Amino acid sequence: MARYILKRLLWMIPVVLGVAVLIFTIMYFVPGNPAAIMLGASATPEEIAIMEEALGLNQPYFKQVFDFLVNMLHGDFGMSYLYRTPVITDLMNRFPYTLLLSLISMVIALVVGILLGTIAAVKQDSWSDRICMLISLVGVSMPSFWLALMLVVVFSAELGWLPAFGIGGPEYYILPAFANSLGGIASQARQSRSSVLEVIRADYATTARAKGVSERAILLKHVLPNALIPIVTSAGSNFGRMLGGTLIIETVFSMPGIGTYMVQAINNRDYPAVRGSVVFCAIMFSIVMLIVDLCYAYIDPRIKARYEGKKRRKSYVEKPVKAA
Amino acid sequence: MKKTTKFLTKASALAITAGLMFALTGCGGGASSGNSAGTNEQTAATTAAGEAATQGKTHFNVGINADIGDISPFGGVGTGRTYTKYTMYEYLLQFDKFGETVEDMVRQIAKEVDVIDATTCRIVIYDDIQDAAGNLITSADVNFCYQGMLDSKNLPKLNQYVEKIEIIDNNTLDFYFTTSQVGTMEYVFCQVPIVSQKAYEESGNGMSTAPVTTAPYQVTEMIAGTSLSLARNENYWQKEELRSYLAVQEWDTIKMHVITEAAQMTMALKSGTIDAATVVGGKELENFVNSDGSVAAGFSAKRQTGGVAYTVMFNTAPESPFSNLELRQALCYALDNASILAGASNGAGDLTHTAATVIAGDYNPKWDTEDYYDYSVENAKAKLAEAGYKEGELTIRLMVENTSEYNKMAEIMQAYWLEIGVKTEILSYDSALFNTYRTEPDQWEVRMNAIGTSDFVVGSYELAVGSIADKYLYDPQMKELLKTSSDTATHTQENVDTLHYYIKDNCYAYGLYSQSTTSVGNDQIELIRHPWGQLIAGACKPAK
Repeated sequence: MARYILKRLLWMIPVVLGVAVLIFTIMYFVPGNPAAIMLGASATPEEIAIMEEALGLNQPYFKQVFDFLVNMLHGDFGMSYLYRTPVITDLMNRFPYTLLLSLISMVIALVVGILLGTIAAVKQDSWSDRICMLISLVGVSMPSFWLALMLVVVFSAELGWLPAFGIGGPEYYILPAFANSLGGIASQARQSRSSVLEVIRADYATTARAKGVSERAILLKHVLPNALIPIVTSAGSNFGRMLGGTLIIETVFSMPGIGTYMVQAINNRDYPAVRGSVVFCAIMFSIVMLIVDLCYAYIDPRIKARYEGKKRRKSYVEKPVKAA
Repeated sequence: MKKTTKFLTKASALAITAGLMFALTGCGGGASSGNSAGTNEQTAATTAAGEAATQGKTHFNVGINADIGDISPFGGVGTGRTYTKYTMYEYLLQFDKFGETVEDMVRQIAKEVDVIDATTCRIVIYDDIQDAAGNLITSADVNFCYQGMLDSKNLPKLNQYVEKIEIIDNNTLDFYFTTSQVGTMEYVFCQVPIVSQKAYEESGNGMSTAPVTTAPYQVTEMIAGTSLSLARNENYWQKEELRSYLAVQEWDTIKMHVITEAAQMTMALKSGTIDAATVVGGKELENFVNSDGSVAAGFSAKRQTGGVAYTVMFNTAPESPFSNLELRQALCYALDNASILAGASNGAGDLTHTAATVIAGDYNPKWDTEDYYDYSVENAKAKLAEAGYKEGELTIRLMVENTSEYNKMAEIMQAYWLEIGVKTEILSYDSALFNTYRTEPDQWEVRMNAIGTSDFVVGSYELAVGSIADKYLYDPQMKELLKTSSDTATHTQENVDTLHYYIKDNCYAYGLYSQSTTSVGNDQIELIRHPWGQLIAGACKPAK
């Protein structure tokens, strides 16, 4: 298993390098001049040219990308044009807020989503199924922006129970996490329903029923573990996306996360911040996918064996003996 | 199966109930930002600020609608930074109204100003200035700050204007300027924050997170993108009787909350979570200011016309159709400025009759009584015909910045121009792209811009038709008139009028209206603003 983890970590290096070169190239060719933004509307073309030289923006492409990669390998993404602070410091300061929000949202999405999906699958085509899928449909259709503002209106402005914006104690994460999790609940519910339906009528489940095992035991010990693989995959990919920052939620609730940082950097052509953020997100996503793959090993021993490089077990069926 | 269903139903009911209970009980209270409102405790703290002032510490919550960005002393321009810099830093001089000269400006660090000639000025600073850490501020520190800002190149005009700075003694410096252009000295003396060189070097990070300054309030905490907390500087150096409006310390602590979402700002004001908002605009303002101009009960509002005028710029490069004067005039006649003001900005502004704000120091009120391409479809069509275009023949590109206000303006203008048979393609770009393309004449034929000045109309003219416009506007006579009216020796109303009429008759830039902005607070607060529109938090007075 350790070898597998090490191999995956080593594979991350070319992935991150590839992402870095790609984002550098995209930002290089995207129109818009950061020097012009920094200096404002009163700057003449000559002054903009001086600032470009000071920022190194007039260097050839290959020199710029080489310098960027060398610095990146030393953990240096440069200084943000907007904040005048090291990009890595900005990211480290902001990431905990995004991580906490994403974790809470994911937990809510998983718990509620799996429950709803399982109920829907077990009670397929009944009213429970329809209600669960209706909740899922509402969740996937409702714009998070609107939901966030409605939650603020009800729970903060009208009832005064929860804060409307900012960061602080646990109460500041309740509304953002709930608004952020609804889409996840919907997708997890649908995925869970689909996965459980596939497994609930499998032969081994039928055999267990025939042997008199209770439905609860069948569900918990046979069905859900086998249905978890696609659910974990979907959850992992959702979580990885959340770690890239949920811009709308962060904007509505004024949370200083990665999402707002990245969008402001893009709007202001803050090249070091954009590159740093994208590379950071790529690293985080890769780590999340690694964790997802390790979860597979925990859920399914066959996958664990494959990771450990063990040979497949031989079949128990003996070779037939030839008649003399 | 039934038992399983029952179990699942109970489990889900329990989970949802637990979740709801967790959400609804809300373990809030006592948090410092975005506090929930509606409790008696919160009401006493915010809506009865006068009572709180007599009971102990007073706290002022302000909402700002842009990220603060860089708070270091040598940082660049930025909306969020301008909301906070007058509270965090002190400058040599500051404005307290438009059109002031250096002699009239309020003194902060500078005690005396002596204009030696058109390009030289002597500044004497107070001899007892100390920052919050007790460092004495001398002319060496002032020089250090100016050199720091010059080296950063974040204020291009500063680099244009300042030739050199000489230290005469511990409290005296001579500033030498490269130009005698009007507004130069005023600009230079109000743009550079003054800090101690020792404190700056000791900070280790260029004071990018916790600047130590001479200001009446000191930064205690900054959470990038969320808030900036300041506390009263108990050792503020300036004597009470000599303090300007910027040095007033009405509050013990101030917290500036970044609230970029307009609806959130409104809810925060209504719930009392914040005491004031620096700017409330658009549709949200209707929650606080009625259509007749009266303020809604429970609130106070302060509207102020700013130094910015929305101006239509034409690309007069030879290959552009707008090298034709009659065509430019046709488009101007086709616009109803009052309707654009009402439709795009909900009437929050003042019509202007030049390419500059109406409150500029040398704005001549006589211009408001004269024809300024007043809306006339007949005149517009006649000019279009004179220009040699038939209705429907011409399609033009109108470039604007991608904001709600500009987009509305563009759509209204598009409709007016269609009325005379000119089709318009609207190019709406983000700020970065817009600033890149504004000096590239192959990207647009007409451009909508906010042209600003800190004091005089000639400042706006310089931005509209000066050297920045050289790629698409070449008129040596106009450049000469601009140079004459910008020089302090020849900056007379007569020369400014001559330039105004020249720009107007040639229709190089057409002003629509001056933008106004409104700060809103609860009715227990008297709002105090800088002439450029920023709320001066420390000076906002609680009810007595």
